Amino acid sequence: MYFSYPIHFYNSIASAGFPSPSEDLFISQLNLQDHLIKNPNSTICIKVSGDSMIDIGIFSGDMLIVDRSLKPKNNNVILCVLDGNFLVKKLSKSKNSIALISENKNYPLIPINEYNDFNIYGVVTASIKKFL
Amino acid sequence: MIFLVDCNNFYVSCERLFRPDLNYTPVVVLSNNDGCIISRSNEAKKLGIKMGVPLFKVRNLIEKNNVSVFSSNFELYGEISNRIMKELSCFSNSVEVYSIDEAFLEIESQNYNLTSENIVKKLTYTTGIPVSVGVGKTKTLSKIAGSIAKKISKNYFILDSKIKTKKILNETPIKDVWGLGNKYSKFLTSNGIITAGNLINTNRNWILNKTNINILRTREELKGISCYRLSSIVEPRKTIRVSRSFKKDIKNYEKMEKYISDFAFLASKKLRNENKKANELKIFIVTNRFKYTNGQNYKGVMTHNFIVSTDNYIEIIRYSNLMLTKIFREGLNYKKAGVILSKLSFKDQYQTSYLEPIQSPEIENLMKKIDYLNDKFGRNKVLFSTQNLYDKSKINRRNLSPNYMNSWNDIPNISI
Repeated sequence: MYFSYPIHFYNSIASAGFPSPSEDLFISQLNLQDHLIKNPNSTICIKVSGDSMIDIGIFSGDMLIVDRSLKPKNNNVILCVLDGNFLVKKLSKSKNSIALISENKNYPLIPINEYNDFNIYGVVTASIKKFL
Repeated sequence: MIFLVDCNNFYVSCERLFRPDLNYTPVVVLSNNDGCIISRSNEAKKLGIKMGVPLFKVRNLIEKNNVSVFSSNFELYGEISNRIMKELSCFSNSVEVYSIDEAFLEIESQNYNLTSENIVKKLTYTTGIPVSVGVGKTKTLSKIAGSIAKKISKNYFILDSKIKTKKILNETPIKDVWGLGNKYSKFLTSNGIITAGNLINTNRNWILNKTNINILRTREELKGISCYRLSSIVEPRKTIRVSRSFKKDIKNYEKMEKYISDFAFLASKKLRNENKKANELKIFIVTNRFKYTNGQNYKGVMTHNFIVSTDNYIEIIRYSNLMLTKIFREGLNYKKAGVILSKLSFKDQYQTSYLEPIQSPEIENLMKKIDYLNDKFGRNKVLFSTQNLYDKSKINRRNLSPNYMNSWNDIPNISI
């Protein structure tokens, strides 16, 4: 991934007219990279397929941004590894149990027990859907 | 104290990052051209696959035990390495990136155990690559601590107390001491200096007489006196060199021209990636010295100085080929060739000349478009007609993993 930070400076040229009042301000462009990715060192992008998360707005073909450095909280959408397979699910954490919830009523809840090889890979921070 | 942070089985760990199904299975990564094994998972080590062994020698073992084999994916490893080094710079202002998977850090702390634990935890968490940390008063000692750290479950080890250090050094064979080299460690062993502890007790004059100053420095380092400082400032590159030894000798001029064009292209690409221009261009071709043809050994070298420094693909490739016509001799078996760019300056600091106009914006625009297309669509989609990079596909990278982090087409696809 290439992270660029374009900052545009307003450079005035001496001229006789009235200077623009915004000349003293640094003008920077809106930067989607900064907006979507807070921790570039720990962020990866993935593409998803399947319909198990459609009720929360994640559809087949969407791209998700996953930050590994965030601490997963209850109800976060997470990317996790369950018995060697990647999954994107909603995390349901209570005092003594963990479960993975799909956002589609046709899919059952997945309870996690101590026999599962389970770890959380990162927290999904955004979904990007392109129309064109 | 000096911290050595080392990634465990780095290339294998990178491959596993996007293949969690391989977390408990044996995995190996091959060197360039799929020749030898250069990284092994712990499971593969247990099978008895040795470091650096050629693939064909362990093929049976690999097939029998279902070992996953990967070609080296240096784009991926480089990206992960960059991220790790950036994370490490949160812990210290002086970080020396020692290799793709190792760095030295200088950290003063109240509690070295806690700091080490934090580094191990944070890196494993944020980057997904397991690391181990060795701490000592000098680089050499931190290396020894690091190799112990790899063997214990908490993944860090600190050489602080004198008694502990002494005991460990007496158990460390001289060949495992950093910076001695194969030749001198053999020499020392044959002279009865078998452990690191022995070296400390060796007379300094004897060392100077029989070996060299670097061995004495290592002795001081083992005693806890720092001789090798951290070099955190990376020296800017003075030359860019692209050269290869050919698998099969090249006799034919057209073929050589294609290779030289490729090398010139790749060198220019590196130059442009660093935002620099080059003033001097050198090419060389060397015959196979084991196969005398017409009874002669030949090395052709030629240099061209640009009037105005350049980063223009067309110009660099054209002059490379022009020089090749001058130094190429028919009827010889060429083994090696290369292109070297030197006298580099930053793009905005180069010397202009009124004898030659500055590069026109159209040309610069064209170069930028070429870079854009090649960066966007992956390895070298836009080439010059004299080039030959299709030949590249002949380099064996049969088990190459996708470029998960650096190409939109290759980001992991996950079925949810």
